[in-house]
Amino acid sequence: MVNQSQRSWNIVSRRRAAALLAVLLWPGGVPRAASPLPNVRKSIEDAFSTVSGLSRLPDDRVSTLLVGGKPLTGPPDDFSRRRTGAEILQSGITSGPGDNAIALLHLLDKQGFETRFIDAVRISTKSLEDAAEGCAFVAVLDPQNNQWVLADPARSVYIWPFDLSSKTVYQNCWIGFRGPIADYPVHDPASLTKFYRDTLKTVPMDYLNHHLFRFQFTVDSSLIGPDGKYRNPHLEQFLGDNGNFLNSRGIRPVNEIPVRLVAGGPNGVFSVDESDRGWVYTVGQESTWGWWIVDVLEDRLNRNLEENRSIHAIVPKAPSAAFWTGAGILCALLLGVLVWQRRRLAVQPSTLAYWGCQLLGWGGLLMLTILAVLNQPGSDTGGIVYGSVYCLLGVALTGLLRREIRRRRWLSGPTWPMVAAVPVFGTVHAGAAETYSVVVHAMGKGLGQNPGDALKTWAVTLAFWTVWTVLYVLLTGPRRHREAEVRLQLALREAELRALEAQINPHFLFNCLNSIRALVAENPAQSQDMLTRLANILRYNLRRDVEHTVPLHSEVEIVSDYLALESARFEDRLRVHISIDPDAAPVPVPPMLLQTLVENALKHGIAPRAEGGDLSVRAAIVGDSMMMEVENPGEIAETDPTTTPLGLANIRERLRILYNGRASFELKNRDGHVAATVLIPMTA
Amino acid sequence: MRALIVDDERLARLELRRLLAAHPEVEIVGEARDGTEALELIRKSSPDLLFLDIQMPGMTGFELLELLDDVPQVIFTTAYDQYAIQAFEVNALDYLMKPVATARLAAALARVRPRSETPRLEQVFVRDGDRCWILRLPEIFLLESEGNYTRLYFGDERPLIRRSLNALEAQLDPAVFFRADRKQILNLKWIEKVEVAVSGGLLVTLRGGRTVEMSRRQSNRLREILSL
Repeated sequence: MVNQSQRSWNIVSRRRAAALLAVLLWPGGVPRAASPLPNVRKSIEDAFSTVSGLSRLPDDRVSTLLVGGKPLTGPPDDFSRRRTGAEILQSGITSGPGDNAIALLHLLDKQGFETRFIDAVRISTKSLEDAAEGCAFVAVLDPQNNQWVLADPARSVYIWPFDLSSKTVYQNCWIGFRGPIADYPVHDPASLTKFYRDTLKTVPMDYLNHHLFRFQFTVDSSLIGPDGKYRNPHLEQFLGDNGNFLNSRGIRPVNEIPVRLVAGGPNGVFSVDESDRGWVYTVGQESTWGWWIVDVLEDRLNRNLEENRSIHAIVPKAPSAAFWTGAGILCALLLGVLVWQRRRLAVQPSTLAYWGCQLLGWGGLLMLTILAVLNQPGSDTGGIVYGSVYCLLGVALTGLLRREIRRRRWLSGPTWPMVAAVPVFGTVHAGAAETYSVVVHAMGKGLGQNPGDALKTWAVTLAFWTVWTVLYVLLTGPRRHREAEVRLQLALREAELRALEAQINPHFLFNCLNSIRALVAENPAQSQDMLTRLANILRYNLRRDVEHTVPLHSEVEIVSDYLALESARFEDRLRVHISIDPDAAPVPVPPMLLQTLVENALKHGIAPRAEGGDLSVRAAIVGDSMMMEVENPGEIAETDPTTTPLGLANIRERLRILYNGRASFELKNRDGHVAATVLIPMTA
Repeated sequence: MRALIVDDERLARLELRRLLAAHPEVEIVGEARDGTEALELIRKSSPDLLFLDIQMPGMTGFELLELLDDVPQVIFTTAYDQYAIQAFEVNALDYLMKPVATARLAAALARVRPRSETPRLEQVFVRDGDRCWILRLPEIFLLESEGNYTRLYFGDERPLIRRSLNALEAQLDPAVFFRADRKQILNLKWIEKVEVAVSGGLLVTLRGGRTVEMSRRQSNRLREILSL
């Protein structure tokens, strides 16, 4: 686009008379200047004079002119871009602005300047719809300061300095060729049309949106007849066509120009007036209606823009700060009500936090998108709808991921499912958004953004998903940790209580009471001792404020009491051997663990045998562990942890939780005996 | 009344003996420490009454009963197995919880029936899976041979016991149980209806609707017995 500061031009048409004189004096053109090169401005102005002295071919007549040395007969358009500069100047006749530019170039070339031919296509409704139109220019290098100057023969204007690499000239000319005239690919009217059409295709949609206008025509009552219909029957069709053309090409102009159509005189004369209230187009009763009207308006608008004057456009307004403040307060209120009424809504704090974060993240992204769209006029609601679709997809897919994470416990397992989920979900998200974009664009609804760079969308989406996942893992981390801790503690407590409850073995209790009753008469002293021991056991069993561990010697006391009571029942069938290493006595152990092992040994090793047997309880330090062992006669099938009795399964579970897998429990056959061995680590 | 105490714990036997001292009608003919000892003593002294513990080394009380041809009257003594005992048809036995209350013991003894004079089989112990019965013979209406086993029909039950029909027949009262054919013995007291079948034999319908067709030879014998 041409920068305002670079836009300087002089109108030199008043020197037309001098130019005519020059052509008369030097019919072959201005003679080649001797080195050093003459002043570039003066040379251009002189060349303008010469070119503007050329006479136009009559529009309505067939002419004959020399083309490449041969005579050619045809209407004026047939000569366009066909003749060399020398031929044009020699004939003194031009077929249009293109010829003028070629002639100008020829003149400047002859003076030894470095020149470039520049051909641009006009950005206008007419150019797009009807015949592509162009503007030809000449760029000249000023050798004194090494700057380029652009000469426009159509307006007798030069722009200085000119950036040779700029894409446009003025507001509405998109450059399609810049280079030495020898490289110019156009040689006849047909190739010219093709050149312009091709160039038009390269113009970015954004540029079209900014440089074409949407006209909002309102029809004055003066144009409407007494029957309520338009006086001019072509007006209705014109109004109907208006806008359709731009829509059909997906062009959404930034500027809307209100134009009031007013009836003028009876003839075809028209005029355009600008007032503070917009444009007024006064049209003669017999005017024809067509693109030329729009063309006239566009031309005027572009001139206004070049000269930095108002175009009286309706520019879509970005929502004000007040709107955003209001929306913010509303959201905050809504959030506040949600927090306040969370009990009634039965929403857990974690759920609330999750949705808060989702709202903040995706909602924030949507807000930013809306702001960006509104700040970049031209892409209107389409971008906002696309943004909404994208963010809703984001909410839905992240919700799905969260559900999977929670259901499949991905965060408490290996990390690869999470690492794999991010690209998978991200790709689905980007793919869905892109598909939406393509489909909507194909339907021409104007509700999506143009299918853009899919790779870019994918990369950005992956970045969002990475951020989301990292945030999710980080934010839920402390809660998960707490939950896992609580779950483990509950499991341990439950296992401990189950261990305790299982120990008040009613069969043992009532047999024991029966034995004591028999002893009361036979051996009162022993019966008293047994009652004391039974009381000890009951007290130990009935307490519920258990510690996770007790010193081994407390556990051994209870085991001794228990075995003493059982000895009274089994008498000589039970022979007990207890051997506790003094170093092992204070070691903390899970309560009721040794007791369970002893009871198990008695039940399976002693009770079923008529001859009874030896029951050994040992505890000793082995390396950095404490070993407890209970041995009884008998044999077991090799232990399979899944089929062990409930009491033993409970022991395994408690050891696993308490010592985090570092303790061990084994049940093994050993020389006609069964040994239950527990190893408990003594280091923390 | 001659009684045998079966319990693996000396103190438990001692306590029961002490309690029974208050009941002079009960004569304790022996004590057994486990099932094997009990089996021997029962065969030797054929007691009228068993005080039987359930959990014992080697053999449980139930397993002991299964080995007996003629089951004496049984009072179970147990510390905590009342649920196992309640699975029984209670009419045939009683149970005592250890430590035993004296009143409870007296009530149990009161239910013991005096033993009949003839040494006939009076009741059998029947176990079918988890369910057990001490079954008085008059309740059985049909016995059916299944190889070395015999299926008993009583009430709505039809358990299988591990004794042959021929072995059982020798111990059954011939005035009550009648050999219908090679495979079946029926209880005469349960006959509801007798018809002549097409083959010439008799078709007996028992109470409860079950019918038994007899061989011609046995039909004649049945006619004699029933004086038809």
